[in-house]
Amino acid sequence: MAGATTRSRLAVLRVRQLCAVELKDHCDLAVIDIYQQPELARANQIVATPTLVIEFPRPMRRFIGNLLNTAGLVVELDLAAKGKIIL
Amino acid sequence: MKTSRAKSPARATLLPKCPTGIQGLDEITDGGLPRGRPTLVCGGAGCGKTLLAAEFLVRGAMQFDEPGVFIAFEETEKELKANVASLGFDLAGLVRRKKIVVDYVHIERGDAQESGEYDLEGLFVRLNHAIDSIGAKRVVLDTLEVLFASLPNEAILRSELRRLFRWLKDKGVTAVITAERGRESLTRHGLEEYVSDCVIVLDHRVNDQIATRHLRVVKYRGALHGTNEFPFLIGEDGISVLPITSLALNHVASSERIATGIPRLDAMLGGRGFFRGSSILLTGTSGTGKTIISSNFAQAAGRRGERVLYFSFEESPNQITRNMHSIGLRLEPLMKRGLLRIHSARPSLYGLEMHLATMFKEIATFKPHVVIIDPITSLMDLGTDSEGKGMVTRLIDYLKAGQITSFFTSLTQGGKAPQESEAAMSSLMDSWILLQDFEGNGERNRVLYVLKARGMKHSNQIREFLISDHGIDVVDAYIGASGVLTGSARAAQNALEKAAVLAGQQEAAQLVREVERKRAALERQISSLRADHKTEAAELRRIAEQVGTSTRLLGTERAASGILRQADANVAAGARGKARPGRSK
Repeated sequence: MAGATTRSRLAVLRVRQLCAVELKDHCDLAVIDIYQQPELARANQIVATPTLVIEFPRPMRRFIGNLLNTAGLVVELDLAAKGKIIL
Repeated sequence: MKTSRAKSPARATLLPKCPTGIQGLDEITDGGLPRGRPTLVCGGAGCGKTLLAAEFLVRGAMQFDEPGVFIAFEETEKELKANVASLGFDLAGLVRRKKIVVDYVHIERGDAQESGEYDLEGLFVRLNHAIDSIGAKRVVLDTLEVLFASLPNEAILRSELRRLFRWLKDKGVTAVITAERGRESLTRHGLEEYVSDCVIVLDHRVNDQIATRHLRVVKYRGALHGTNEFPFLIGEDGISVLPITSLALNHVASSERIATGIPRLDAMLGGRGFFRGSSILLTGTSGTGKTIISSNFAQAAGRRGERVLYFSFEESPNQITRNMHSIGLRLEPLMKRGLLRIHSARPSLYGLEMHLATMFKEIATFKPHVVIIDPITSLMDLGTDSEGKGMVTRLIDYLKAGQITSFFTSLTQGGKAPQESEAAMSSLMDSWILLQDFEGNGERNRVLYVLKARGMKHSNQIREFLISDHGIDVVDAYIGASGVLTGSARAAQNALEKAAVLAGQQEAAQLVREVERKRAALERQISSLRADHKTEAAELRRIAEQVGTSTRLLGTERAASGILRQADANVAAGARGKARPGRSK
């Protein structure tokens, strides 16, 4: 994310919620503010903000936006099949 | 050429410019791209957008001490380094010395899913970070449009791009943004609507199987610029744009004269030959001796110790030297001494522009005093008339700027008036020598005349020119009542005249002899008359004497007889000496 904008905060909120509820915190979540660490933007190929990068399990996936629409994310994380859609 | 332009006070008030260092581009744009503003470079695939952008950055870092940031959307840093290394640019070294930052922005469509609102702050942060890390003054975004393919929401993208260009301006960097050419608009995604300061269009066209790249400044807000299409090359030293018409026509004209190597031709040119640094055209149909005259010129220059660069588009260096040897012209010694270089190339080897670039390069390295192009028409056939003329103009401009004498031969088609066929070139030439074949009496003879010679008194006479084992000889053609006679007709006419003179001389001698004879005869007559006269005079004297004697005798006789007759009356008369026999009887 880039700075503490409403959009950033919403995205962080949504992803934290997802981690807690769906993944039962079986995950490592790092929140990076590229304003603070601009070199990490380059290292992680960030263009749009906010971007959610799922590094593991492979392959690496990216979701850009404030995560208001998580349909794609749900499919990617294979949550739909287990009937655990709550978001 | 690039940076030496003096800044006049008037220019200071104009838009500040950022020199690209790209050969020719700064001339067209009168100083470079608008400083602190974005410039859009658009064109189709393979027309050199990325190279132009890269050169702008590399030259900025190397020549103008302006570090740059290259944001690559299409190529990785490694690929980019390899690509520009082919132009002789050490991008890797510049990156190491922190003069240039290359940031490869990689996003693929399948890679990122949209899940709500977003902005391109990531790109801004990366750009900002890169600029600040080396204090960059120049930025290249190549090719921004990749974003349209990888990011789904065009509305967001457009508003973000607008923000990006605004941000670049605020940042005060001179930016080059490349974009793919669209079908109906300048760019496929209409980027030109955001970049309004300067738009350059590149184009790659194939004409008669020969591809030429063109560059055109479509728009340059707030500044004068050349609006024409200019051909450009991607050579070993990067891009060079070749302005067809140099904006300035202010080369120095030397008044030094150089001999042609043919004394009679020098005599026809005011006695001293051509001006140094002038452009000379030699036209003629095939076999009129163009190469021979050019070689002669080359030799004359070489003997003066000048360097001559001979571009031949018909013969190999070896063939030229062999052929010239046959007329007693030895070019090898000059070649060995490094005074003559013959550069042979087939005209069809590559396009007009490439030829021109090669020639420029040869000229720049050899630094000749005289350049011979034999024949220029082979080159001009490669492009359209206007392209050919443009090329010659550029070449002449270039040579004149360096005070290099240029000697062009031109092969004219038979049947056409030579003056007509060379109309395109003639205005560019200072001197023009015409070679012609005269056909008649079952033979062809070569004649030569000076069609024009700017700035010097020149002969208006047609001269016959002969090629023998000893080289070239220019002789007077016979001009008389029956027109211009050359070759054997001239010889025959000469013989006729000689015979006539001889006959005249003989007649005169005859006349002299006749007069002499007459005089002798007269003298003989005079002397015979004199002799006659002498005889007559002698006779006369003799008679007179006789008469005197007889008179005397008569007197004495009379006196005697008078004495005898006692006559004294006639004694006195008889004593006077005059006999009067009648009366005395």
